[in-house]
Amino acid sequence: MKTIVPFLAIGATLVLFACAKKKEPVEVEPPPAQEDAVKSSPVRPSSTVPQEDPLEVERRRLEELMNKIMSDDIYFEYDQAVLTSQAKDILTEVGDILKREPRFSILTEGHTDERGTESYNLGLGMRRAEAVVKFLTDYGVANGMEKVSFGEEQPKNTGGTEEAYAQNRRASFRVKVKN
Amino acid sequence: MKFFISVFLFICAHLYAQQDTITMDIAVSTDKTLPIGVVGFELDKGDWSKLEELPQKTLARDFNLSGRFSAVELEQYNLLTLSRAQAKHYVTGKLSMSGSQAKLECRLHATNSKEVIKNFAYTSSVEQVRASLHRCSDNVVYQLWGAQGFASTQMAWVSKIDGKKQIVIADYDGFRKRQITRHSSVNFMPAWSADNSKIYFTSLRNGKTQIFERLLSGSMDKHLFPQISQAFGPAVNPKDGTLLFSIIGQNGTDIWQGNPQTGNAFRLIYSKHIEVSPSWSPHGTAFLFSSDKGGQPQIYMALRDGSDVQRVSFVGKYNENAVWSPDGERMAYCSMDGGKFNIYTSAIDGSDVRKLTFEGNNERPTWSPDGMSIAFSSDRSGNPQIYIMRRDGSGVTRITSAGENTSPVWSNPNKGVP
Repeated sequence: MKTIVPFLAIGATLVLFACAKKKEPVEVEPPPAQEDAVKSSPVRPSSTVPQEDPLEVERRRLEELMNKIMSDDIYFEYDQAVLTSQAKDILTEVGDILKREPRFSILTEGHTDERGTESYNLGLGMRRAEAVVKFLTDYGVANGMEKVSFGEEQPKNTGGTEEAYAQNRRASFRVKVKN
Repeated sequence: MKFFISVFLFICAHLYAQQDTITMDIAVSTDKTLPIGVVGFELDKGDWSKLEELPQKTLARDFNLSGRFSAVELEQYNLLTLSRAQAKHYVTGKLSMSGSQAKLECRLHATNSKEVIKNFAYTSSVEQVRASLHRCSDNVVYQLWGAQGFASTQMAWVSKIDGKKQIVIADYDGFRKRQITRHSSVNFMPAWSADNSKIYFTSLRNGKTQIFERLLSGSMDKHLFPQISQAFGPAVNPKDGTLLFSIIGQNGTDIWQGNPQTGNAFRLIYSKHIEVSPSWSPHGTAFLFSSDKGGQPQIYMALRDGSDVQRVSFVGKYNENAVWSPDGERMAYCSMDGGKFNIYTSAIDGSDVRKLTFEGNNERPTWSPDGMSIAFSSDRSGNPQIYIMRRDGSGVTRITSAGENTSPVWSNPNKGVP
């Protein structure tokens, strides 16, 4: 029983690792067609429902922030782990959220395109994750930050074109909430 | 006169250009192969429907892949054809059913006299006739070359099954394949234990790269070196069974050595650069690896304790996946030029570079246990498949056909002479 209590305290819906990594940010205003269904649902009340549970409001606020971070992929040039100015802009936004939410810890995943060897790409993916974490640390982020490399094993786009390669050369985030 | 001189110069220039093009683009067979006849086997009236193919087909493929022979296939003995092909020997035999057992008789003949030089006999189930034929080819290699062939060895590789990378093993010629890993995450980078009883591999099943051990007679995967967060790409010391592998540390990707039995591990090669793809020398006294400390991945050699590091690749911008040849003299590796990978070999000091492949992407070379052939993966015909070629790049033969197959690793020599 003891192990369950802390989870209940912050609302059972808060997951340790938000696994729905690639899903769209949570909609605050559901489309009208779905409104009735949403209203009748006790697990997903919309913002139009009065007397909302404050825990649920907090849950949704955190989930939006987590989704924001997780949708912010950082892209890299071919065979490079240098942050572009665009990447730095995104990381500044991510850093601001992390500074405001000290309970958030992040896992930075480094990825590469399929060119290059599997082994070298695992090293290159880590170098990208390291570049991201170093930027955030230098920016003053003191949250927990872990790094992992998947090399070329988890492409976002399997197209095999220059465009697909560009989408696969990335660092992405997973967010964890501490109790 | 002026006209003739200019015509002469034009012809010279043209010939020169042609010759230049030819030497750049064509892999020339530099090793001589020995022609050998393979004459159709006699089959009795038993039920041979379980055989994948006729015995002479299996033998001819073995001979062609051996790197030593070129097979001259004949339905029946024909002195003229064999003599014209300069085949001084031929192999034929008989397959007969005795109860539920298959009896395979293999004979090595002298072409001119038809005299039997050696007779080999095997008894097995019908399913094992293929294994008997491989033993026959190894016996013929031993008889005519005094060396141990590899027809009875195995190959491990990575096959995409239901969209996921899984480790499979098969006979070295791609037949009798079986799936080793089943976890629905990425499983890759296989390596044989020194005695061929286990496969080491890397898996993402726990959300990061970790090394596992699978006893081939069992079904459980054992996570090795749990004290290390992220490790991948094991290479087995052929003498003492210890592993070299890469670990993703706090500051770069380094090479560690570990004992899979005790679980002890320590770092050998470390820097802020990327160090990957270790490969032991045949006696386990030194190893090759790749490092990008010069900006791009290049091949280096170190002694077994990680000391005396020397760069050994000097041609090309991106050289990786070096594997030390069984005789210790050369290495095979892949090099990227013009965005495509090709297989090269060179002497261990980096001299005498030879390009072996010219079409598509060609990666992950692995030596046959006797060093006569090299297996690799190539996308030259579309999806990546496994190929075997002679060590000079000639005689390229595809051994897989369906799906996507990559990263072949040849098993170690079988103990004892056939």
